[in-house]
Amino acid sequence: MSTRKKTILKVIILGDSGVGKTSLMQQFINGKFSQQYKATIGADFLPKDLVIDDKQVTMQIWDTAGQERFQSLGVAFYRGSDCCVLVYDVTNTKSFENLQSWKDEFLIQANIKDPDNFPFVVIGNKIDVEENKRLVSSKKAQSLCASMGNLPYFETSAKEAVNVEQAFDVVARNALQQEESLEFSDDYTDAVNIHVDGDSYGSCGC
Amino acid sequence: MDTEVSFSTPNLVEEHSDALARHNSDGGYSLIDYYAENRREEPFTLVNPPHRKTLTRTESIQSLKKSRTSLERVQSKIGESIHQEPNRLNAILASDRDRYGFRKSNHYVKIEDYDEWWTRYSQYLSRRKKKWEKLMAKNGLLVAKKGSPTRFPARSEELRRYVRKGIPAEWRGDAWFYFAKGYDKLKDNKGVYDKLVDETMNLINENTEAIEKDLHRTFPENVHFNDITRNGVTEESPLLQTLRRVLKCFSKYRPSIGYCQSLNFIAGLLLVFLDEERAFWMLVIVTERYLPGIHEFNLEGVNVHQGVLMLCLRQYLPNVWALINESSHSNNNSFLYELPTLSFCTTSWFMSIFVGVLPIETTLRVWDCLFYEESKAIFQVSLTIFKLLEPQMLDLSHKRSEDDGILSAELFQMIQNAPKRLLDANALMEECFRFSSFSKLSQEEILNCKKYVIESRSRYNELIKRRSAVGMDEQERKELMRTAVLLENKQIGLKSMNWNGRLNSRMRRIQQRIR
Repeated sequence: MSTRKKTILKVIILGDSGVGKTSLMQQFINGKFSQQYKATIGADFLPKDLVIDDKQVTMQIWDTAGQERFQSLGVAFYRGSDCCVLVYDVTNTKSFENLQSWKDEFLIQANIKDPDNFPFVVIGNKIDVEENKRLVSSKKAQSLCASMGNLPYFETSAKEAVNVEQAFDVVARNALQQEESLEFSDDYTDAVNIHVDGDSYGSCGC
Repeated sequence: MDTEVSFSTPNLVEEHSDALARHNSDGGYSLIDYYAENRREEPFTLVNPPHRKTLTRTESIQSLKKSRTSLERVQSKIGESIHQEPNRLNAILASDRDRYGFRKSNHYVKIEDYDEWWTRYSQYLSRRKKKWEKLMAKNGLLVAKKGSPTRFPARSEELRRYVRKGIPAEWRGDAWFYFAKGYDKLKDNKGVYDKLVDETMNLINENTEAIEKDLHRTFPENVHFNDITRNGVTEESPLLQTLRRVLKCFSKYRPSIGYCQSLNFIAGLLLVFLDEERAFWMLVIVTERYLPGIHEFNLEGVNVHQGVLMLCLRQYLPNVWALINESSHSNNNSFLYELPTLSFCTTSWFMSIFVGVLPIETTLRVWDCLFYEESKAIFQVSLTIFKLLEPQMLDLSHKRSEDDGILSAELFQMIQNAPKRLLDANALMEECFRFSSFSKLSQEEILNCKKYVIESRSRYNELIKRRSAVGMDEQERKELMRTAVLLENKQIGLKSMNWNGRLNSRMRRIQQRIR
């Protein structure tokens, strides 16, 4: 009998600082919301086991720091992602305007071979706020997602658990599809390991 | 990058009387305090920054004085709870908060575990306090019963041992400030902080926006950092107002850093132990002397420090290193440029100096050592955490040997979560400074490693630049390599080569021949 490897889906959550990335992840994984989340430094990680159409998968969700300068640390763990979730805050126009640059940044850092077909999911979070505080309309968001390549779009409230499950279901399905398509493609990465030091330097003797 | 480490004893008498005079002068605002408190006017609210009104100068000064007085009240409250004799157990055991106002329990530490530990630890604390008092007396330094010393004994083996065993919480702020040479900073920068406060009062820019987003996310689990609701009216916590000022002033004072997430944690914890001005200068000292480069805009300092940690792991904990290192070439240093994924767990160890990584009491013990022993303490503590985790990590790797993806994810989680349970600060410090092979690690060694990492990384960056200069970007080069290497099957010969224009054309020729 062959021991089948468990399918791992790697999902990265990106977006401006304070849009609710940690809250979305916590709501999806633990089904709870807290006002007590601290700002994320570096990256956090949580796994969740799921069954998608009778298939057992483990979704590994990576939550990231939103401040721009943290992108310079981002290179390593973007790689090998199966889906990227772009989050903005419906009460914060700037976080919406930055979606495109988050997408571009991800494609570069993750070294995606086929950018046009890589699955992204866009989430507009904090729809629980009063109507007059909302600054980005659904229409505007939908048209942006259409122009970015018909990306699936969800409006959620991590606080009140609205639409979070649905959004991550699509994330999981698209990630699985991506993972399966990669299995057959030849994924030859990083052929060269660069030896900057030559051999003369050796260890630093630390 | 590190400033020269020297431990000469500064001219204490002058500085101290000066510093004290400055702090006493805070009391000189009494008239304005009276005025502000008796106007029965709503304090201006900063809870919702976009709608914040611009303050006139008089209003600014009033609100500043008001919040400074209320801060003093909060700090004296914190002070009192810290000053409570630790062996008067009941106050803490009966409360759901520790003596600094943090929630005792969380997802990782159960309240029973906290209480059990605190019962023992508080007795240890009162023993240590008595020893400290004796040490101070031996050095001719008198400490008032409820006061805190502003001078500490000269540096010695003995004092270092005392620091490693923990500075009494009620003296902590003063001790940190003294060891970090804060009084020199204060003396050289008379009036600078007040001027910065004045200049940044109505400042709104990218930094201040980022600060606003983080204020309430700094220590939501600490009662002093929560807004106060009285008679249905919510007032912002004085500590948050102070934290805002310190961070805004810092962003103005150090434009190359501005505001970087994680500075909120460092400044926030400093404010539990130090008054506003000294907390500000301490933050300046932390970023320029203890963690140089870490918070700069490109975060290169983080990569450098991570590189040093990786070198230390390779040297002192080879088994752990074997699990972390992703590079298949054991004798190459490419991990210095492309850090292993697991290094993401340790980002906050440096950036927040363990705030939110270790339980608060443990974090404070690390800070004690850091401010006395320089940045090597961070590396020693990091190594200790890995050492304590080593058996679990190896165990996991045996169980999961068949699946790399699962293993690295589980290792990541372990390194991410296990430190949060390290409540037993004594055990950690003993392991670190008594039982481990790296207990003798010197600051000089760390500085040497740092230099080496900086040089290696800059050589690598040079190489990348040169590569793009020879007319091929990373993508094209990889594509070329891929086809040529795969079909020619010459992987081995391509190691440690230096990419240049000649190679470009050679590779293109190979590729054409293949086609």
